[in-house]
Amino acid sequence: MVAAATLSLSQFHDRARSGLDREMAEEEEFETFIRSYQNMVFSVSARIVGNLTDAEDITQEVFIKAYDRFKQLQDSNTVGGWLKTVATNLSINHLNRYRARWRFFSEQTEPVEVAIEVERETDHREALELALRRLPDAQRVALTLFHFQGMSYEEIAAKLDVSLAKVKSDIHRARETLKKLVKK
Amino acid sequence: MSDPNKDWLDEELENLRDLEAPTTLLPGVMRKVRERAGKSWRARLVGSPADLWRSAVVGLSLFLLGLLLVVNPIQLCAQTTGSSALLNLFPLLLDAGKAALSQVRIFNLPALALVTPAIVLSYSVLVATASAIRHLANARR
Repeated sequence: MVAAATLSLSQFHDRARSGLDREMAEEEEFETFIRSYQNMVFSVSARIVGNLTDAEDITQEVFIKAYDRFKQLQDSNTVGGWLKTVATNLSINHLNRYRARWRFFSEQTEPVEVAIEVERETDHREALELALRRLPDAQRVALTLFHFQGMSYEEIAAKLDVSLAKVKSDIHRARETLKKLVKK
Repeated sequence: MSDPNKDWLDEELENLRDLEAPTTLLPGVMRKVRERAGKSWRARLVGSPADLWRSAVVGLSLFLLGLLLVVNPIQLCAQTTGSSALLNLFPLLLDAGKAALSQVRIFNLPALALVTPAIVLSYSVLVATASAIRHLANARR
């Protein structure tokens, strides 16, 4: 009787330990998953919102969403696409919360000045990243979706709920500003 | 062969590497994930204690509102012995009002059929106005 009870207790411990081991293994897998994709997700958010602190918060939110469906994502071969879409949507939602401000900036005709002196000393790519972040929101978002996400003008217009002409002009103005600010 | 429509900016943008995520990102996500995993399914469903209280108060209010349709509290009070004449008058007035709303006809329609949509409409306008004010306040922030 005692032996049987002892056996069941040890079995119970084994099961508990194996459960904990499984949880730890899952956590480790998720950590590896984050390490693999964190730079990509962070870049998508940072280039859309143009602010590194907000981009970090959005990236955290993306990975928490990913944790909720981690098992499905592990078996899927479109994880990168899924993460990119969620990061893009959350970043656009973040900007939409301040839509009035976004509109105000998008109506500005003058390019936002970038600290040219600083850029000359820094790496050319870094300067381009900095210039991108300092573009007016509407121009930066349209340019990012076009160049980094490979979306067409029509898709961008539908996603941002703006006219096709506005998308074209925002991308054109963004490119002109970047060319002025980051001279080859 | 390179695309003739592409200029140096296209090439520069194409060659941009991913930004490096801050070192605080991974520990931050793992902490939140552990917090979520530590919560029971019930806690996750209900949310914070403040949310639970809010839901309970809303639920109770709706229950009492529903109860008002079935039970008339003033009538109940009036039926108790020793109640004042004024208290007896209230159920009479309520009954008269109810009868008036159901029997009086405006444009061949019972008054109740016109009053109810008017109440619903004014409530909707109030909610929409409040929501617009809140939206504008958020946008200005």
